Amino acid sequence: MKRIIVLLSAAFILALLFAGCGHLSGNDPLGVTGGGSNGYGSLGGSTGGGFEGGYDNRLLGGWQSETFGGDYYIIRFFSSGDFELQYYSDGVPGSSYEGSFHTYDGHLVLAYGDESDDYEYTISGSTAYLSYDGATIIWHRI
Amino acid sequence: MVTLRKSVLVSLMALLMMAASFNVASSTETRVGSMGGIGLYTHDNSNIFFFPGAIFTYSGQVVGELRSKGNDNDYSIGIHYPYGSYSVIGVYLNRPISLSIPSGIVNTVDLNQTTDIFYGTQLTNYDLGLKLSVGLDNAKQDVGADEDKESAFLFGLGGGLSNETMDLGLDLRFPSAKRDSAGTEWKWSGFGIGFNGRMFHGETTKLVPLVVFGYTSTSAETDTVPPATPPAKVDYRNFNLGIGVGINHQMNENNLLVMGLEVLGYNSFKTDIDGGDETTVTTVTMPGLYMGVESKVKNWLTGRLGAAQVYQGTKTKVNPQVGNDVESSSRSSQFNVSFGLGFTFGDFLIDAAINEGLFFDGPNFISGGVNPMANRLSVTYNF
Repeated sequence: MKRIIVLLSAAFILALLFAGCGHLSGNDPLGVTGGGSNGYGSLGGSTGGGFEGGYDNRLLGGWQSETFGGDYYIIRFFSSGDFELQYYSDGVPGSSYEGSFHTYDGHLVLAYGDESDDYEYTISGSTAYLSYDGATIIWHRI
Repeated sequence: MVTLRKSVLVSLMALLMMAASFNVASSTETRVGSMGGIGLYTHDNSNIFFFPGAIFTYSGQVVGELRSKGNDNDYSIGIHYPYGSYSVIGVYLNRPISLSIPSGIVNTVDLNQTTDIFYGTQLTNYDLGLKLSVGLDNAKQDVGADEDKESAFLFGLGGGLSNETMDLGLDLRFPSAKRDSAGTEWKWSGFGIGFNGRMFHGETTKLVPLVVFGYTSTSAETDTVPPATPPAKVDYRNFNLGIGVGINHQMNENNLLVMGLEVLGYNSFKTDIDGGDETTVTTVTMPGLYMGVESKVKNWLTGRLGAAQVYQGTKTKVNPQVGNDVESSSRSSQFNVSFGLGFTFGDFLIDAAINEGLFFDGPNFISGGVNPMANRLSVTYNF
């Protein structure tokens, strides 16, 4: 029993080192079995979780906006319900935003700090269309 | 000598009673949330939603969860009322669930909360628990000569067996939503099944292997007048699997250390549009690391510290109706540290997830900041 615990502790530390090698982003780590601020994981289909996580799962992953004048955005949606938006000017990273997102009836809400933006969105294959105040931005999956 | 032995015995009993009350009373979503999200790797009263049989252990409690400041929709309250010597009845009101009805079905109704009713009883070797969950919302609007009617309904059944060394939970769910307007009907329905199991192996240092599984299948359809050919239909499939192993170490009567290693977390969500795209998003967590400590600083004060890190890969595959498949993938690691305090006032226990900014910036009269002291609160009353 003691040996199992020692081995498990060693595995835990190794895994911690391994995990530390990844690109660090967001601040709401959420696995299936733990990490959530409510004390649990996503457990998508299980008792305490939900069915879809409160968002359209097709959004998950990275999207790059169409280029306008050499400028573009890359947005990443994480399963924890967080997003990360990075602005690029001629390929050089500029300002970035982090926050949470959710969807409802064809709308995507990006919340950062005390503010939030509500976009209408549609997804067709690997292309997403986000509309705000009559203007539409086209995004391609990356 | 007798007096000394008696005082030692009394002190020991008081210590044991204090430790026992500490273990039972200190338990809420906020508690396990501020310990790095280790709720499945330790005993806690919030476990009852995953393992309904555990409710018998937490008989005689009223639990209030205040999940975000000022948002009543995120608040819930529950009571675990002892009925006779071997039974407990539980009722939870307004428990939030993370369920979104697909776009294009309804406009105004939602399924964000459920009412849950529990029944727990003690058997010879196990505690048995049963759970019934109901969520309901509807709306009706007169539009000219027609009516625009919407409704959403969730029905869930669950059950579980628990004892000191093992917990098992199984549940079934049936969500649905419908809108009827001017002869057109939009409807969405399906079912879900979930299974959770864990063991506590050992004495003061317990090894905790666990597995969680969930599968949900729903379909959305639109019936128009005249009927469209083919009818608009979208199928949704959600599959989850989590395998983990943890260490639950009660260092002494005042200190608890919990570590959880999620060996594999697998989540797959498939959207299949009839006559259109098929999109599959798969998220793999490997590994997920969660750890937390809890220490009773004073009789009335408990400190908690936790951390979580997940290393995740997300893969998206789009199979369009016309053209080739498109695949993309990304990897990321997310990390967070959490901090909490528990305050005991008589039979009341208040757990708070503390906003660490308070310690960086200082209180309002120093920093001028307006961030709240706590991110979330839980209140437990033991009777």
